[in-house]
Amino acid sequence: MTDAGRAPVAELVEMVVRGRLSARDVVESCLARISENDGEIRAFVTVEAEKALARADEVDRRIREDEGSLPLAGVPVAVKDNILTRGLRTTAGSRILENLVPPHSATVVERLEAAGAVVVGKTNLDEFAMGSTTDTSIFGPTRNPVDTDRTAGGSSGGSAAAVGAGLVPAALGSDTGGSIRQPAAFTGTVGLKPTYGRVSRYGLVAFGSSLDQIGPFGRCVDDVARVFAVIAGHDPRDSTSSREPVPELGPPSEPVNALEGLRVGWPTEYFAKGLDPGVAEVLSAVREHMTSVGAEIVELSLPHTEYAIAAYYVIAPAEASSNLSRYDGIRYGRRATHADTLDSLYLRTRSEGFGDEVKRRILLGTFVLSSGYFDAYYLQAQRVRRRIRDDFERAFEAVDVLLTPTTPTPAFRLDEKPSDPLSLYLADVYTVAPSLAGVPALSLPAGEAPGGLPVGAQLIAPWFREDRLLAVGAGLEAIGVGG
Amino acid sequence: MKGLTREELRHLGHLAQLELSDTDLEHLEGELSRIVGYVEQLSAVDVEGVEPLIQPIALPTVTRPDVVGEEPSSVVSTAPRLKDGMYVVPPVIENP
Repeated sequence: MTDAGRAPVAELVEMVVRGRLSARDVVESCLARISENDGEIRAFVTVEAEKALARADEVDRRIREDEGSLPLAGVPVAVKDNILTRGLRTTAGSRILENLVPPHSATVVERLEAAGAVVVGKTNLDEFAMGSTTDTSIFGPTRNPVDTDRTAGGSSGGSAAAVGAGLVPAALGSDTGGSIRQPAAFTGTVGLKPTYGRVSRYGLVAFGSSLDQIGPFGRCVDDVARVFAVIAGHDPRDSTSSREPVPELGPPSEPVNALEGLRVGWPTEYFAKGLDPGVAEVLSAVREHMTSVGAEIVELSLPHTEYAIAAYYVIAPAEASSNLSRYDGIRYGRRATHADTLDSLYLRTRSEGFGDEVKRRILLGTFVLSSGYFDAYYLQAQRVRRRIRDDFERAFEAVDVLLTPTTPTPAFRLDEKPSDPLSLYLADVYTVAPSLAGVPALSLPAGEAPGGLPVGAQLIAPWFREDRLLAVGAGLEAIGVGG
Repeated sequence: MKGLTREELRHLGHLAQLELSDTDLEHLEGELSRIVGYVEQLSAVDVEGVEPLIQPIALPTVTRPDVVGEEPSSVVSTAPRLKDGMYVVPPVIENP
């Protein structure tokens, strides 16, 4: 049987479309791989083999009856468990939604299925995507396939680990302040956070609505590009999804050409104190590599970078506290028993249903939005957010892309996770600023730190220039970066 | 640095409909005070004349005709308790 988990997406699709392999074969081998290997990694929280196989049969039928082009024919995909899948439990990693079976699918899932992809299961995440280790999930943490004593990162740790372990060729995650890029860096996979508004959020369990974006994971840039091409584009059901046309994303014939004459910004604030020497060394090697093929490195400053975490941890919790007010025990999921008044039903449902990190962020958000503090915290953070956005705008007048580390350190051991929430928040230092600015960012494997742990490089492009990110990423792969 | 007192935390819990035990309060007092203390550095940024950024890309206001889209039965189907297609809630008004 073909090793569906290891083949590049393009090859897999080619084989399925030409009938050398059925979608059922591919999905069967993928399911076998999951049941064999996921016991230790725990990337998946729900796998329904029968449903996946039925979907695969449907894809095979569409190929036989020649029902139009299927750019992801037979590709097994894992979907983060905060993205709604019709008829397939969607928990957001929370007790409050543990029994939710959605009546409809997210737009991204509909688009994947229309393109011939098969959702094989739902992946683990921090509760409501709030965290960076999947440790706040009701299902417990996912383990890093590179070293199972270490975190796979979060919040999309399950999707990253599923791809990293070769269980599936591609997966969807969501990124609010780094939740695709950080786990991609930790697991040695490629992860793309698209421009805010590029991909529909319809059917994504809302966390920070001015920040959330869905994006793909893959083992190479081309795999990510193919999934992105399917999910990107305007959706009338998400009023914040952009009408900006999605450019053609064909694989370049000479990927390395993307690097010649490329102006690459090197923001000095991203290489300051707190950066692990092993990560710094890998990034310096990438820099040299790029220079050697004709790229120009431009050192520059994004002066408001040091305020990004503070702005993020005001804005994201504020939006979360508002979004999570909908979990009232009446409309979704879990409902507390023995509550005889409406207020006690709210109070009990929410107090029993949410975990500690979610409660912490709701309280923080409630605080910064409360009367007397609103101007000093929330409004101030939004003004600083514009400063951060303007930093990027100015930088992109001088350079085509920015190159930074994705994370300050490689994946840490699960038993060394900091117990103080603030220390964990500070590790989001390189991913939150692009989120606040809304620009697209790609994390790709750039090499290894001592001990063999993957290190991610983050490429950041101007708004709606995912095509440039993917071309540069493919160029880096072509010159052997991370390989 | 602004610390959060237990009294303030209880009030926030009330606003957010979260019941906080004494153990919760003990942890939260330190954790949230440290976070709030950290985000206070935002006040050091000169934002004179800077408009708040509400969302990162300019989007038009979108309207649509006010017509029924999804089937109402599908919209309510995620509710833990339904009766005749309607949400069931505890009594809101006391009997006179």
